Parts: sequence; C-alpha cells; structure tokens
Amino acid sequence: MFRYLILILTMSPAIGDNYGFSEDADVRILKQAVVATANKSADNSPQGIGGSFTYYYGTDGINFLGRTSDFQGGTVGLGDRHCMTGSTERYVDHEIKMSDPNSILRFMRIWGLDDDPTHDLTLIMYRSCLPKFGAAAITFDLIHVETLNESSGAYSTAMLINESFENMESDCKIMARVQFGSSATCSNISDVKLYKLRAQFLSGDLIYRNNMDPF
Amino acid sequence: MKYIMTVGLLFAAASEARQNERNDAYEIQDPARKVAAGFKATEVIYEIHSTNQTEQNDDQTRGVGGGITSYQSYMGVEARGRESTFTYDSASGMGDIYRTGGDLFADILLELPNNNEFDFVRIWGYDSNAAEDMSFFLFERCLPAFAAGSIDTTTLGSVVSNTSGGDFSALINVPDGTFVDNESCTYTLRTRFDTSDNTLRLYKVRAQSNLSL
Repeated sequence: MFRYLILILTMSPAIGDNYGFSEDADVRILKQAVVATANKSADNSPQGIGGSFTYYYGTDGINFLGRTSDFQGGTVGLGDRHCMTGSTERYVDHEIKMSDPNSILRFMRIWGLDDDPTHDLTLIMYRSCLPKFGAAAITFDLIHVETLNESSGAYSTAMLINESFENMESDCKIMARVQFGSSATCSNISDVKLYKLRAQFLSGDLIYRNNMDPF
Repeated sequence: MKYIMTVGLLFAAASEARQNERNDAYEIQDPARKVAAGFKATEVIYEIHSTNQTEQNDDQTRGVGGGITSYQSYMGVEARGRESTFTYDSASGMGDIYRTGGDLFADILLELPNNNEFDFVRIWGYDSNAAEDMSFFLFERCLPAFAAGSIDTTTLGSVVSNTSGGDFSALINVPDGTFVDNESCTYTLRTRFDTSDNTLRLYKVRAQSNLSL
C-alpha cells in the first residue's frame, strides 16, 4: 500500500539551493512519499475501465540539455549521457511531453549504468507554470525527487508518481531533471550514466484516479 | 461521400502548406532584416504578413468529439544555440535561460500535429533592459518530401518583447490559412538575445494549433 502525505510547503532557501534551483526560488513541494510502495516495480498497468489507456513518453540520455551551458556531457555513442570531468554543471533537463493534457502521470522509469560506489544519479521531476495568456514569473512545483542508489552496473528503476494533471502544455510543463553525482564539479564519474527516461501516463481517467486498482 | 470530401479537403490543405508557394508570400529583400533574424544576407527568405486572429481564452482541449485546440509548450532550457558558441545560464533554475555569451540566437523546434491549422505562438519571458529587447522569429523550413533540394525558409511572424518592466508575454499571430506540413517542413521559434546578462530571459514558448475539419 502506498501512502502519501500531501504537503504544499514553501521551501526554505537552504532547500531551494539543491536540485538546481536558485536560493531565492519559491519552490513548492507537491507531495512527499511517506511509505515506500511494495508495488513500486509494477509499472505495467493494465488497461483501465471506462475508456482510459496507457501511453508513454521516452527520451534518451543524450537528448537532455544542461541546465546551463557549463554542462559538459560525454557519451559512448549509444544515446547515453554522463558528466565529464571538469563540468561545473551537473544538472540536465528535458521535457516530459503529455499528448493528452489531462492525464495521470503514473510512473517514471529510469535506465542507467552505475559502477561508482560513491556517486549516483538523482531524478528530479518538476512542473513550471505560467498564466495562459498574461505575463508573470514562473510558478513552480517539485513533483518527485529520488536518488538511484546503485553501484552494480546496469539498472532500471520504476518510481510511482500517480499524480493527475490538468491543462498541461497550455498552462504548465512537466520537466525531468537529472543530477549527476553530488559534487559541484564532476570528477571521474563517467561510470555513472543516464541511458533513458520514460514516463507512463493514464489518459482521461481523472475520476477513477487509480483506475480501480489498489491504491 | 462525406468521408471522401473530408479527405479531399485535408489533402488540399496539406498541399498548400509550403508557405513560400502562397500568393501572399514575399521574398525579404532587405539584407539587414535577414541578418537580424539570424540568416546570411544572401539567403532567400520569404515572409507572410500576419492577420489578426483572436486567441481563444477558453480551454477547448476537452471539447465535444475529443478536443479541437492543441498546445505544445517548451521551457527556455530546451532552446539550442544556433551555433555552439551560444552560452547560457538560468536565473531561477525553473526552466528559464538567459544568454551569457557567444552566438546571439537560440532555436526551439516546435512539434505540431500534422495538418492542424497553425494559429499562434506565445512567448513568456523577462525584460528589464531599457535599451534592448528580445526578438522572436517563427520559421517554417521545408525540403522536398522525398528528394534532395535546398532549404526553403519562410518567416511566419515575428515579435519583440517591447518592455523593460520585467515579466512579459508576447504573441505571434500566424498567418491565416497556415497548415502544418510535417511531411516536408519543420517549425522553429528563434530567439535573439541582444545582451549577455540576465536582464533578458526566456521563460516559455507555446504553439497553438487547431484541428482542421
């Protein structure tokens, strides 16, 4: 059973300094997972009742762009991405496109390689919003943060998100950010690689949030 | 018969989608204007003068029959420098960028549903610079669908930030009768940053199109 403690907090400047956000950013945490789910790896959701369906958005590591142009990315040429030694930027971003703007983001799954016992990848999901037609500063929600504590080579991990969204693409945008390691400057972490990220959505099922599955 | 007519109309719309073949497309003669948009002065670039349309201010994405209006959004961090010398930073880390040096221009590829009527591009950003604005250019670039050729570029619209008051939202009105042709063409929003500091920032770009029936 997966339980949520739904919190909307204004992050303190100290917290906002992490995950690639500026110190004075007003970052809201959409929710925090309290208890890890036993169903965490079961992201092969069945077809839903009432006409909803599963769709995916995936992207390779090499398609991620640096949060700033200071990111120096390496690759072995297979669509993977790692942070090169000397790179002073360790965050890379990519959009998560929702083909149905009113969907439930059920899972994120990440594929990677990690032979480093000290450094890991961290996945940061966030949502940036602006008014539909007017001018304003970006409002921002942190959706999910998870560090992939791996060191045994190739891995794939599913993360249950199970968050419904409305008016995406017109008002807001979901973004995925990956953090390489924990040092301000990447150093000898070429064996911490991002292979691929995939989002799994349920379309048109905002009434039956969990598609009648155990929640 | 209705189905045949509908398909026929769709094919007719798609065949008109190379905008430089339209009667209202003009070749840009002024080399300074071409350079200002990030092209070489000798390139052949077309433009179409926009018409005034009204953005829908109600959400039609859940309309009867499955939705009509389609939106595709891109945060500033998804822009790529026209040249690899383009360097950028972020003021907030929330997907915004500003130029720090190198090339002046950065492009975002807009991915639109094929055959939709392309209506608007809206840009959000920040401009606190009293002397400089951000400039935005919307291009259609086409090549023969199955053969070699040179790139045909048409400017579908342009706008400037035109403020120094901070947050802004600007609109490009795409010329009436512009239909998305993904078989032959791609669509790009280019930003020109005339500074290398955080007084000019790109937040988000949103393309709006409608299902053509």
